[in-house]
Amino acid sequence: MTRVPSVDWVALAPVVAPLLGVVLVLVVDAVAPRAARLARVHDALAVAGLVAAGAAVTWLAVDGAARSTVCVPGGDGEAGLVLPSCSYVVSDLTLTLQAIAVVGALGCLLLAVDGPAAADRTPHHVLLLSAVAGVAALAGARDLATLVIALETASLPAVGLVALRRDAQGAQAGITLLLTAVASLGLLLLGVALIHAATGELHLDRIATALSGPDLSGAVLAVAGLGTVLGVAGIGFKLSAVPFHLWTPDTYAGAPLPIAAFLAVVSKTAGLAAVVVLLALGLPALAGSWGLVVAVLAAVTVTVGNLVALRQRVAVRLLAWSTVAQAGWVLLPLGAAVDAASVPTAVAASVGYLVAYAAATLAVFTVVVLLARHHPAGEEHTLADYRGLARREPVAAAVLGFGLACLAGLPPGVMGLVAKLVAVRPLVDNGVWVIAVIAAVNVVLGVLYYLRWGALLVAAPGAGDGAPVTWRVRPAEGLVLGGAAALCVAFSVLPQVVAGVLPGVLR
Amino acid sequence: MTSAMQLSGMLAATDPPGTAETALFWVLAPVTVVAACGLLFARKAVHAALSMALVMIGLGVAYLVHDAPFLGAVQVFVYTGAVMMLFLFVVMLIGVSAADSLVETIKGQRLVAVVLGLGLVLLLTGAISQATLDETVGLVAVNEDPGNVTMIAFRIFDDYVWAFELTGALLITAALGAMVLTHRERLTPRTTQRQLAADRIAEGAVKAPLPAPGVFARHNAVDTPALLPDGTPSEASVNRVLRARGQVRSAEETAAPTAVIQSEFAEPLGDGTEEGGSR
Amino acid sequence: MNLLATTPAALLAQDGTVAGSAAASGAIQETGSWLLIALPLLGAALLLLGGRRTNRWGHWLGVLTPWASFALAAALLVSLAGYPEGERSRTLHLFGWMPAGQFRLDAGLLIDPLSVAFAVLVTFVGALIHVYAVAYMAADRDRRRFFAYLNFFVASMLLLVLADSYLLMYVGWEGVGLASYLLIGFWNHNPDYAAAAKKAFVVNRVGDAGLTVAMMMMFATFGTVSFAGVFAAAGSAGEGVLTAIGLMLLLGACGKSAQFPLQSWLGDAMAGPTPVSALIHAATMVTAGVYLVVRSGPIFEAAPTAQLVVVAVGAITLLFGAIVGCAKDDIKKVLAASTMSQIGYMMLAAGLGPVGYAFAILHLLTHGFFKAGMFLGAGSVMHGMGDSVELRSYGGLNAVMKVTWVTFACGWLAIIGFPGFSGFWSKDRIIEAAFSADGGQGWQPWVFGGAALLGAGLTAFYMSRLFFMTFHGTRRWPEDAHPHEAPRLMTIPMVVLALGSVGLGAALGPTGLFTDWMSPLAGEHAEEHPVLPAWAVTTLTLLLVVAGAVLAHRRYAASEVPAVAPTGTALTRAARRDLYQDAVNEAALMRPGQYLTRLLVFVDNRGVDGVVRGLAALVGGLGGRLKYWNTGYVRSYAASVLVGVLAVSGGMLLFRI
Repeated sequence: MTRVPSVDWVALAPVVAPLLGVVLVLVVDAVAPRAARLARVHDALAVAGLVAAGAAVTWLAVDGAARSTVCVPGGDGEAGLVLPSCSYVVSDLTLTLQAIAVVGALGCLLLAVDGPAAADRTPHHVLLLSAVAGVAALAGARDLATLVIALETASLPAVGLVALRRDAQGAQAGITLLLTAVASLGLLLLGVALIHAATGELHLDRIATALSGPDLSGAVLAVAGLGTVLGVAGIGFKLSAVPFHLWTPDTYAGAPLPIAAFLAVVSKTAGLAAVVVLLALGLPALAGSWGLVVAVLAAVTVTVGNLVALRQRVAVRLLAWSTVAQAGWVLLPLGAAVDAASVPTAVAASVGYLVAYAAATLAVFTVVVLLARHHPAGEEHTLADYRGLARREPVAAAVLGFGLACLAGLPPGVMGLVAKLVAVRPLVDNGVWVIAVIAAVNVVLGVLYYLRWGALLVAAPGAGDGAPVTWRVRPAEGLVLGGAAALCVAFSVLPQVVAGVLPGVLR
Repeated sequence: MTSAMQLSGMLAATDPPGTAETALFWVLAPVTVVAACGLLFARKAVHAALSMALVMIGLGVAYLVHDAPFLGAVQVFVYTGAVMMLFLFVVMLIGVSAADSLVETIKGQRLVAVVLGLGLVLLLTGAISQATLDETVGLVAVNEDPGNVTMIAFRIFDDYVWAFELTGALLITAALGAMVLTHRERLTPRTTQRQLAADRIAEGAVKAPLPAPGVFARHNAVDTPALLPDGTPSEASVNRVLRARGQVRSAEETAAPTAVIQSEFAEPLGDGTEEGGSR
Repeated sequence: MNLLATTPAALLAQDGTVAGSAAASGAIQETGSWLLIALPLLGAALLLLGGRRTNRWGHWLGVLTPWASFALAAALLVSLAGYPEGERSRTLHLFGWMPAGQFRLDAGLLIDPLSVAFAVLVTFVGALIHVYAVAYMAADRDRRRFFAYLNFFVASMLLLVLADSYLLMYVGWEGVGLASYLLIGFWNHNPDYAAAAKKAFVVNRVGDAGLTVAMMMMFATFGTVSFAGVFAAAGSAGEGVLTAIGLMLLLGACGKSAQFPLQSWLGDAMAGPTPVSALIHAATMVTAGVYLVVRSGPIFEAAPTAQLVVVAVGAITLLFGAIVGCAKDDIKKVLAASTMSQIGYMMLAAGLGPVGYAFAILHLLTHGFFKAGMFLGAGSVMHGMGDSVELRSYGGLNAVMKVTWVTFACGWLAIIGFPGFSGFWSKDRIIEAAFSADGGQGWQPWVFGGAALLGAGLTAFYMSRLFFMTFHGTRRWPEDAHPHEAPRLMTIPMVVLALGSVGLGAALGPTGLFTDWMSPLAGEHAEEHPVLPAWAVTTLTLLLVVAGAVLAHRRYAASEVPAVAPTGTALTRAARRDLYQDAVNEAALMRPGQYLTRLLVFVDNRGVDGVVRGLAALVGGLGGRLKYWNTGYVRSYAASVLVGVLAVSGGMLLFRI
């Protein structure tokens, strides 16, 4: 009896392309170590890896065919016919999450390319590309083993990236992230093991079938429920949901800014991908249990994130807490799931919010990176340093202002407004009123600090600021600035992209 | 804790458990649990590493007993043989006597940790202890066709080949990440002692010891600058902390009280001073 | 299908077959009508983004785009005229704009006689003024930016009139507001001008708030804000709601069209360059309010109270503007007051219902020509007199500025309603219609007709005063003035507009061409029953006009005009100060507003901030614990994770049991 595994490499292309980039970068580095001339080759290879991944995602989306690969054959089981199950599936959900990750990573790469990455091109590019491959694999993962390994591939490189800021604070941030990541990995593994123990399956569709049976003992449900909780806790760390968020401010402040942007955009995408894959695809039958848990987690996360963000003065720390709050927003629609039938809408709203969040965050971070590069205080600059930016750098200030408006959900940031509406709607539809009200209150809290920042942009410049430095925006940075702004504007003009992204979300 | 549960699960999987197996379990399980606790609570790194080796061996034996010879062997080879030895090497490099500081600086941390840990244990036990296992197939039946090793191969290289390959990517990344965390490439040549000396001369700092502060009759005057030969005060002679606090006094200030003293002694010393002055 | 529901055409078009055939025969001009808006917008974008690189040729690009739009609009007009009367209203679906849940809105253009008439006016007058501005702004360093704003204005104005829903119209509405703000404050290095821009912006916001509230009420009542949807459902809503919507719409219209009580910004808006005053604050943007009222006809027709308020606002404003115009000594401010007054006429007509729609729009068109022409003439005079705007420093300019004199005279004769000229055909009919208000019964025809009549006499007086003080009488020029005729680029647009002032009314009015054109909009309306016969109204009007003009001639042409304004009567002094409108605004709105703000600041400081600080203190108190977790030690973070796990599992157990 011999079996030959069949692998559909086209379906896997979004994962394989960045990994190929990794291999090529490593090969170039091995052939010509420390050749400064080859710096641009490294950059080009890394960009090419991401662009190829993006092209693959686009092609798959245009092609539209349902693809799945690395499958376990079905057959006649004890309980009747068992369908084949696959470890990797290309669906709208997969492709959307992959697209967010690839575009976000491309932005962060371009921001970092002459910044923190300049001294350590090889490790930076390799780590970043591996992380993207991890997120891409995670988005398509449909069994527990792939899920865990892909999540780790997505999150471990971030530790190395954070430590690229070669100073005590960077190392401290890296270690904090590493230890928290390992602790949460332990929880996740325990959770996954319990789910496996309860159902005897690794593939998510089979787990879902096993848990939706009519005659399940309470004990099985208890073990599976406990596994779910531990899994959510393990992944909650990635999303920086309260109370798994404590690493966030330290790490953001200690990381180089483009890497912080990477954490905010790509790592958060990984977190949401893991939550959605595990909960919505594997455990929809338990939606009644985890729905409220996620709702409460999300509400607490939004509230704590916003309250603490209100008190922040350093730009990057404010952003760190704001991403905590936004993580709550991303989770919020999932909290509206009350049964298996209400899961797809909730997931669509979550992913839609993530799209808006990623675009706006990238735009904001780009301007913060630019200001930090032109400010004596560097990455530690405060909000007060944005006073009068609109007069000195009107374009950057406009992009920042628009990005903040999108994050706050204020017109003209229609994208953010629609995303927030879409996020709250499932809650209202399913009658989770308390959480919906908390969300509404938090909109106001969020507006407060985003608006305060935005107002500073147009305020008259304060005395004693010294001669402002004229910004010299590098082409790569200009590209990111323009691209992120264009995305924000496009999604604001056509908010249906955010509102109803995923017709067949859980195909 | 975890390993103990794993063991009980394993033992329950044979059908029916023989007496020898049961006896072996009751020997192996306590030893493994004690070793696991030793890993957690040993103060010296070597002890912890040795405890871990013991846990691994205990697990390996348990696998062997339960008709999983390949897994048992790999467990011993890889973990006890390779990984643990690596740990021990590292420990030896750092220094065998290096022990963790066990002074807890955060108030209440230990109490909270214990309470929370116990809570988690209770929760897990509560949920898992309710569970009953179905009729088990038994490893003998599972291993019949096509055999234990082949089955593992099918699992790894066919059913879960994607996860397996991703693991490769993960490991490479992890190795590189570890390198980034620990290794720093030297971009400039190391500065030598000679170079340091030359730099110090080049920057024009004072090479000799700093001048002592001024010493006057009524003051042990660390706060008063010494006067240079040309009569100007020497800034370097006073501690810069005093200068920063604004507590430095000038020679002129101290001169004023001198005049008072002189006026006090004006009568008896009057002539002498005048003479001295005129001379 | 986006038609006025009251018209037979609409009822027909709601039938699938008619709509289908209309769609099938859609001509290229209609499908391409989005270009009408896109071209000037593209021009504005190129000029703004191109920066200094486009300085050399930018103004010519700016001139080109409105002309291209005009060509498209003219083609559209011809194509629309080719359809039978019932099919002259069609929509062009552009894209699905906001399909968010129940709220579905498509962006589309509504091509019907009203919008096309407006589009032609906007593009033609706009294009002429662009040409004029090339010469007028020649010395300005920022001429490129000026043209960018003008282009942006044209695009926004076209979007405003062509939109097929209130929301899309609102986009254009805000766009013209922004353009107006930018252009009034174009010379914002002068603090007064910047303040004028701000004032216009703020007053307009008040009106915009009305429009927004109206849209919200529409959405709450009808579940849609598209013209077709709202008008189709207008009949079914209660009169109270419709009245409220109508009044809110009117508030929006008052803000944009400088109608009472939101009229105060228009005079100050003359701070902008003269081409701006001609295009935005005379010919097009300020008439958007009239457009809004006419477009919302089905709502107003179902809400007679709102309609009455519209008429009253029109009547008050037309007298208000006329009185202010009699006393001002600043040439542009007189013209601004006159604009206000003339729009009052249009508003009055629009408020009369279907009877007045065609006349309102006809007067809007003719006014667009003669008022723009006079503004350009005023610009030419200012150009010749070294940017002086003082009527009292002019006099006897007819000899040195022949073209300006003749073209201005055409505009003057048109606005006072001299028989045969454009204004006669449009304004006279409005006065007639006013005498048939409320079906020709009760007090309304007498009051509104009388006001319109009186306004005509006052108009003749103050416009003749302006004309004589500028071009006739003794020369009161300052010593360093060397008046001269403007360059060709400026005079040609003036001549074209003067031709329009002379002939447009006669071409459209008495021939019945325009009434026919607008009939799908106006629909069938009851026979008029004026309280006075038409010949009597015309005669009375003419008598008053002649009296006004003669009086003005005697006082300002035949006799010496003092170089310094005499103190005058109380009324004159009041009129000079815009009938104390700023003082009234200040006392009635600004002061209470300031007190309210102070109160709010107080409440904010003591109350809201107190709550926020309390919350913050709560966070801080809780922060004792938070700080305790947040020491930077990973082991405490791990403890927090454990807390989370336990809390979550505990919660889950609670929910499950």
